[in-house]
Amino acid sequence: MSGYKDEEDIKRDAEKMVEVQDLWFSYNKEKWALKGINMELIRGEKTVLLGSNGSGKTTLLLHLNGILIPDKGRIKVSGNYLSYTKKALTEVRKRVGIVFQNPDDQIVAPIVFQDVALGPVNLRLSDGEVKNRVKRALNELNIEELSDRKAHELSEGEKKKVAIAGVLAMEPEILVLDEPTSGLDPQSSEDLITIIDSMYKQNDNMAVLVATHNVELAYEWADRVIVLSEGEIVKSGKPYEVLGDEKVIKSGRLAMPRVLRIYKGIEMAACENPGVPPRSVEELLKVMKGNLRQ
Amino acid sequence: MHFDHTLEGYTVSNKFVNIRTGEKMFFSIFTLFIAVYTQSPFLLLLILFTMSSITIWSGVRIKHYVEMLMIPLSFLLPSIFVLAFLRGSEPVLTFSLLGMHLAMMREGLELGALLMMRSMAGISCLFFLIMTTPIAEILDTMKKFRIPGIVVELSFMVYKLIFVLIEEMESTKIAQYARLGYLRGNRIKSLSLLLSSMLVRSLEKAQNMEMALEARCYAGKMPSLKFGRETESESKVHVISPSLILIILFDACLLVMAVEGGV
Ligand SMILES: Nc1ncnc2c1ncn2[C@@H]1O[C@H](COP(=O)(O)OP(=O)(O)OP(=O)(O)O)[C@@H](O)[C@H]1O
Ligand SMILES: [Mg+2]
Repeated sequence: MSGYKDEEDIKRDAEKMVEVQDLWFSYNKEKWALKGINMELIRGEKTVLLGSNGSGKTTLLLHLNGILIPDKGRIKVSGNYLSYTKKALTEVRKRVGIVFQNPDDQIVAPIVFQDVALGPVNLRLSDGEVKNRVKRALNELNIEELSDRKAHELSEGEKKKVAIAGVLAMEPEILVLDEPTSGLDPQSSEDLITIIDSMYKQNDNMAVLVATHNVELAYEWADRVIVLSEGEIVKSGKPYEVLGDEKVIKSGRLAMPRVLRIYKGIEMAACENPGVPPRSVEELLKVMKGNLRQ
Repeated sequence: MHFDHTLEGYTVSNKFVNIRTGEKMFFSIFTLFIAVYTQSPFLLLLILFTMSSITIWSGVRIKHYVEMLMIPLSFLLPSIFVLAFLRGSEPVLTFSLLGMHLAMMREGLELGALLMMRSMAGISCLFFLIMTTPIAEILDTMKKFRIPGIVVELSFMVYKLIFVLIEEMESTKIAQYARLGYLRGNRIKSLSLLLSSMLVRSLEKAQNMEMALEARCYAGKMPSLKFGRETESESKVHVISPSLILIILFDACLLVMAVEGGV
């Protein structure tokens, strides 16, 4: 390789919102939970972090806003290396919003609007601004009608949305969601993803990172997929490059997305390669119809 | 039963929501001081009766009130029972157990009874407060009265974590029953397992909660209820309100009786 970067690389460098460099971490000094992670989040990109239970997804996410401190390695947010003073951490946590895996851990105030206001109030914003932000966040998630409800009475899906609104009200540039669809029925999961999508389209300066073990979601939705296994990144890249790779699927203890599996079957039978593989059932059906007509 | 959820439910919809938090806190805490100070059983019972009936009248279900009361009671009763054997010289009941002669003393019994009434009266004062006033408002008011931030923050953490502990206790117990714990012969073992697993799980939960709060830059501030939709214009309540007058009257009467009754 020659020493110069092509245009896309240069642009990518400029748009890096988070950079993780050779991150090592262990909870108990017996076993590494993360072993030399290198990763970046790009402005305007939707990244999905895929990994089976215990692979280290949550541990990695908790490093992005300085809740956990690496044993080795560094993290850069918006061009600055994280430092762990109280003031610097507040700044970072304003930029990096994390929605936790279990909404019950995150929702602490009794009334929905009160919980959504928690972040802004602690950022010492003016009363008017707090109110605006609460309104906007509830609006973006389409849950204005939940505003006055008691938080503990909500359904699991509603709780997830409230938890997201609480983070959104802090207006982060980098939105990190840990297992947003776990525990939701298929329809609610889809709704939630649609909402995250539209939210992300409205704020084109955002980077979104979703940790999950849902390969279907990763394949259909992500701009970039990172597969994590036992604290190490197995592969990262475009959804098809990563999830179409049998070896990656196997070492990540994942399953290949259904659309891709079927498509690969057809591709083999038809013995030809019609270009970009389909990402959703609809696209797959289109390809199949095309093949049948030939 | 999720005690904290039930509680939080009551705090936002009871007959006293519109009374200022400061008044309710004053009422509860001043009466509490009288309960600590007085030696009169009559006064203690009066406080216990008024406080619990006001609380229940405000909208708390009797069943929940009693269930909540059982929690401190289960700690209190054994220690007060022991007290009856330790103090005094005039036995009212003697018996022997495992070769030991035990005697229940009159003085110990009386002291125990007084202590019991005092504790119950005190608890009823605090119950009034936590069942009629949202914790966020209490914390806010504490801040207004210049109570140090660390105390306020700790109060919130303790408040939250007590419930985490209770909840974990309940769910661990259910899991144990489901797996046949507490049968004859392994009660002690089940109990010690309950305690250790409860502690571990509560710590875990507390840690998760703390991380989530940290992630949202929590610095000890609980948003008050005024951030809800178009709020009723910052209420211009007069400093002297009917409720305040009632409270002062009641507490003044108690105070006079406490002082008059002699120490
Ligand atoms: N607080 C902790 N103390 C000690 N070890 C921990 C702690 N939290 C996680 N671990 C360990 O670190 C490893 C990674 O856990 P992590 O929670 O990051 O996985 P995950 O990918 O988020 O899994 P899941 O999909 O189940 O949420 C696991 O082996 C786990 O047992
Ligand atoms: Mg996890």
